[in-house]
Amino acid sequence: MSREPLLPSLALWLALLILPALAPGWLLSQLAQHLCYGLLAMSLAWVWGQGGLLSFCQAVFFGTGAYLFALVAMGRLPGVPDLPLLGLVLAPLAAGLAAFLAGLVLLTVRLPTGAPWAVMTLVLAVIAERLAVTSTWLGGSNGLAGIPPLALPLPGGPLELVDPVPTFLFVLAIAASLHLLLARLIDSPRGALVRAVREDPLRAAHLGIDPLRVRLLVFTGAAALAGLAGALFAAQFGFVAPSLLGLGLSTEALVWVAVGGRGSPLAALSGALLVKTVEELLGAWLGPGWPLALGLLVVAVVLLFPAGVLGGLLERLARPGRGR
Amino acid sequence: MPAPLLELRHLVKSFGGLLAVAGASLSLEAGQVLALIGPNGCGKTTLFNLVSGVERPDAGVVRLAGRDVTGLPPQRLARLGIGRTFQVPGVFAALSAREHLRVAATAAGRPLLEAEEALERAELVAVAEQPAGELPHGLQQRLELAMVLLQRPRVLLLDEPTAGLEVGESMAAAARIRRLARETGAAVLVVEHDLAFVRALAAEVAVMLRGRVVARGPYRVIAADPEVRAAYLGSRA
Repeated sequence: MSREPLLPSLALWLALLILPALAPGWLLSQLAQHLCYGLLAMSLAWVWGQGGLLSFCQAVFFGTGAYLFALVAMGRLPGVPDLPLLGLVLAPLAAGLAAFLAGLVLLTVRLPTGAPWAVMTLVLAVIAERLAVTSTWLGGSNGLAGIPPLALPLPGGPLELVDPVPTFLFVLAIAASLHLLLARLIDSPRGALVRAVREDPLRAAHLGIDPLRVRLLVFTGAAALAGLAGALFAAQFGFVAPSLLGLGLSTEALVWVAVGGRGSPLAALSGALLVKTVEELLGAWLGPGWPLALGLLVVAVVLLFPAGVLGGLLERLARPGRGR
Repeated sequence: MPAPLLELRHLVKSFGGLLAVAGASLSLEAGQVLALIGPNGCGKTTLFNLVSGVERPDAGVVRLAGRDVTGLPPQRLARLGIGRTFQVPGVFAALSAREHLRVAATAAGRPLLEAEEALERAELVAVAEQPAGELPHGLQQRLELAMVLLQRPRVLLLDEPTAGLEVGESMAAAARIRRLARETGAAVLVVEHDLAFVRALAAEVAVMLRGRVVARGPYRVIAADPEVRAAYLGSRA
């Protein structure tokens, strides 16, 4: 559960890498957006699966990143040049800062375990969405439209990420590198330290570990990751709305992670890709019945695969009868 | 005269109306092993929690090498050199044995190589990759102690180290604890129910009754003390 298996990761990233040669443009565009959701799922797997902090507010940080990118790229932040790439850099910092401040309050009020913690994150998501709806600066309930795309400064002149293939490859490169980084972190002794605090904070404290600090760091780091995902999303979508930082998307992300598997970022990311793809395929066919079908799917997964569909498989792959 | 390594003075802790620790005092020198015995509910575990920072005392002082450390949180006390084990072995169920020792080494700021050495010394190499929750009780205890020792504690608090062990195992455990105190120079405070183990420990014994330390001395003397016999040994016969 703790180890991120190398082979399935490589297989997924290679399969996605050769996709531009086979798939039509619309599918690539769609997948590039779903990869952003995948990054959001990865951040949730880290904070929830690894850190043990069930969060109903992960989309708040996704949305913070998306809005910040929009504000920077549209030149709406006073004193900040309207460079989309700068927005991409600032988005994770802003989301991390938001989480750090929120975490400082939430985590010190109460030990982050069980229902009270989860409810507080839920409240945070509701507040964030209300704030965005009522703020004229953020475009109110209409959100912000007409966000310029990312432009990569290449030797032969800047490359605007509008076409599906370069956009997809750019998002893919970022997603794969972040996954690699997170997987390495999770496998490192410091990653094990996070799990130790999840398993038994008091025991960890007796080893000289400050559980509060570890949790605050994970909450902040995961939020930064979600913020970057949000910025990438806004850059492709060209439009941000309050629903990006609300309870709805936060809960959806929980579904992806529960279906994929919260123990591993790869499983969580695949869960997001899987659920979103199925949603695209069946959504049109099922119409308003889709949420119901999704609900049934979640119930089935929770009952049959408590570690997630892919999480359970990966676990078996990671420990092929070792020592038994 | 230098200050004792660990000194508890008139510690008091009550929960609601119940006085769990009622002015307990105790001191330990480096390298000394002291067994703390007493009937259930006499305040032994609460005393441990006061010393290791789980609870704050209502009154009284805890000194570590002369420094007042009363009421510090567990992580601060751990860094200052107070290590402890738990009655139910405090291991992280989902983490492998190797991960435990890596976590402990990282937390103590020691190189990872020491985690590997500790794994070998505790003879846990064969089960290094198994989740600790799946290990038998005795191995979990060994893992917990190995983890605590990576901190190089100056004071080691052991909460019922023989709980769940068989007789032969607990005799070996007594020898291990004696050797540990001798080799590391740590002051070791052991809470224990098993009197055969306490005798085998061949250490000083302190008796706790109704929240106070009422007697202290060699096992032989303590076991012969009429008050102790009546209150504790007698009640178990």
